[in-house]
Amino acid sequence: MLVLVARRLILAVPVMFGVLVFVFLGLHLLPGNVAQAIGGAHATAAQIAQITRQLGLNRPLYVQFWDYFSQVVRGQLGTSLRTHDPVTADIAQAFPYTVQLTVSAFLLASVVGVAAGVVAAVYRNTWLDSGLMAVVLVGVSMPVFWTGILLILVFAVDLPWFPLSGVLTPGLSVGGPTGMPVLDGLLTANWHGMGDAFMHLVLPAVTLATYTVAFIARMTRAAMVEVLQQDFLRTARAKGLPGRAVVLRHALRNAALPIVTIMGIQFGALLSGAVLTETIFAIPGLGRLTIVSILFRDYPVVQGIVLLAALVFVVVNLATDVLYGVLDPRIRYQ
Amino acid sequence: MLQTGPALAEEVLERSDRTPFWRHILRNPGAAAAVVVIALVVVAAALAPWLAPYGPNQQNLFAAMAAPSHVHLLGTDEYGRDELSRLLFGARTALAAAVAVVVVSLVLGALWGLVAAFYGGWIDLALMRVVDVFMAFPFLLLALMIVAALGPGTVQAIIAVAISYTPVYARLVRGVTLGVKELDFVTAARSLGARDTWMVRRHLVPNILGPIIVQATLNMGTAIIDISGLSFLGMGVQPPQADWGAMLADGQTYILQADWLVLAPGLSIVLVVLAFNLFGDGLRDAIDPRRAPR
Repeated sequence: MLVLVARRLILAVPVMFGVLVFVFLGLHLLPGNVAQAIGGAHATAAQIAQITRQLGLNRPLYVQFWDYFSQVVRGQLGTSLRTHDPVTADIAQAFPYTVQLTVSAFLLASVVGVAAGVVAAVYRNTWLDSGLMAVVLVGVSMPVFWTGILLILVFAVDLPWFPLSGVLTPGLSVGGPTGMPVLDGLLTANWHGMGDAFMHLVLPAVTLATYTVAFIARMTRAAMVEVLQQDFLRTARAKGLPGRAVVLRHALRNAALPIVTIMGIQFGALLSGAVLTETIFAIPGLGRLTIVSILFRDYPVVQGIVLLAALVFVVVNLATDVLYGVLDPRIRYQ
Repeated sequence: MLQTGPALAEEVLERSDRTPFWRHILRNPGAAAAVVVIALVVVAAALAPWLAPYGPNQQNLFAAMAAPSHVHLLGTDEYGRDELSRLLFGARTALAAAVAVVVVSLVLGALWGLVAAFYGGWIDLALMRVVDVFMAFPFLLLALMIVAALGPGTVQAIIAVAISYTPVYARLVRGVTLGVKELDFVTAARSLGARDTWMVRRHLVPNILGPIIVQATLNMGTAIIDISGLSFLGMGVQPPQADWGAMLADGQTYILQADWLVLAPGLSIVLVVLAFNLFGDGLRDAIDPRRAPR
């Protein structure tokens, strides 16, 4: 098992290095002078020259890359051109909101998606299967931003059950170690704050989860249908195992590999969806920070966020690979 | 996810079913309905200047935020622009941008995958590691980073989305190419002195066309979502050009007063994307009957 983890870790290093090169080059090689872009259309030549010097853009490219590389390796991402704070500080403030949103959407999507897929596969070619799969097909065709607006319209405007936007009711604060309001409320036993934060989380989490629920359900059904037709399951049923044990312990375990793969891939989609979801619900997370930074041409922050997102994605893929080993002993001993 | 590599190539080659392709699709009610919807949207987009009751940017501040009525079937926005007219012109933007994304990413990806599979060795290794790097970015963030560098706009959004789709085609084409290369009769033909161009024309293109068409159809749907997503964020199509995503973003501001401003563009996106998804699924089942729903 350790060998598997080590091998995957080693494979992840060149990918992360490539990501770093790409993020660096993205700023330096694409058309448009960065200093000009930062200075704006009315900047004088002297101002542009000053920005160029300030950012060190007049040095050779490899020197700039080495600087950037050694900075990133030490965990520094530069200074925001907008707030003049370290980029890591800006990101650290926004990141917990995105983690709270993405992880809750992921959990919701995994549970509901797998359950729907298993039910559809077990009852395949019945009205239940057709109904579920029709809902799923609509689900994969719904853009995140439309789902969010629709949910706001129904559950915040027409039926005022949930707040329209934000992470907490204005004036309320939930202090705590994680920066994630729901978790902090739980850890500090601030039940009122936790409840409020939870109500603010429901619509964004459902919005972000919708596409993923549908996608996971589709893949789970396909994988389960495949497995349910195999001989060993007929044997399991023939020897008198109860239906639930056959489906959950035997079939689902064997269908788990493709399902886990899809979940890993979908985590990246959730990070993308978070940008849109945070914009719709005015959540001060990484997505919103990305958009604000792009509008202000705050490149160091954009670079930092993209780098972090890629790192999260690579780590999730690594975790997926390791999970393969846990689920399938054949992979472990290869 | 499509099956690629030797297995797919074998399977497609082994197909003895000679039922006309279109009959397969029309037999599938979902796919047939999707064809009708897509055709209607294409016609509506093409004829938008003649079908639209008003100009897409024609303002009438006296009729701003008018609810749907016989004068404005889908109501008007905050500038008094006719929502139906903007929807029709928005269909042009959506379809044109999606086609551009799919064509650009397909051509780039196909070349990338072909070169990797044909030359193999370190070229393959290097090209595929670049694909891995691209795949390591969450899609929208990659696109946003490209837009951040190029500046917001329709063409920039198309380039950004196309670049982020390219790796999918590169992997697909490489997989099928490698599969075809390893088939026994291809090896035999090569050993008899057949040229690479013969292999590409005679075996690769017919085998690769199916999976690529399926992927491209499904990507039409995702491209419409992603381009409107960028426009929704203000990074894609810029005002005053009519675009479904931008219309939704505008509409969200007035969601409490005028819900028709979000309902019409949102439903349009869902309908068209659903049609492309259904059509793509139908195509896949027609090309590879063994994958049809069981």
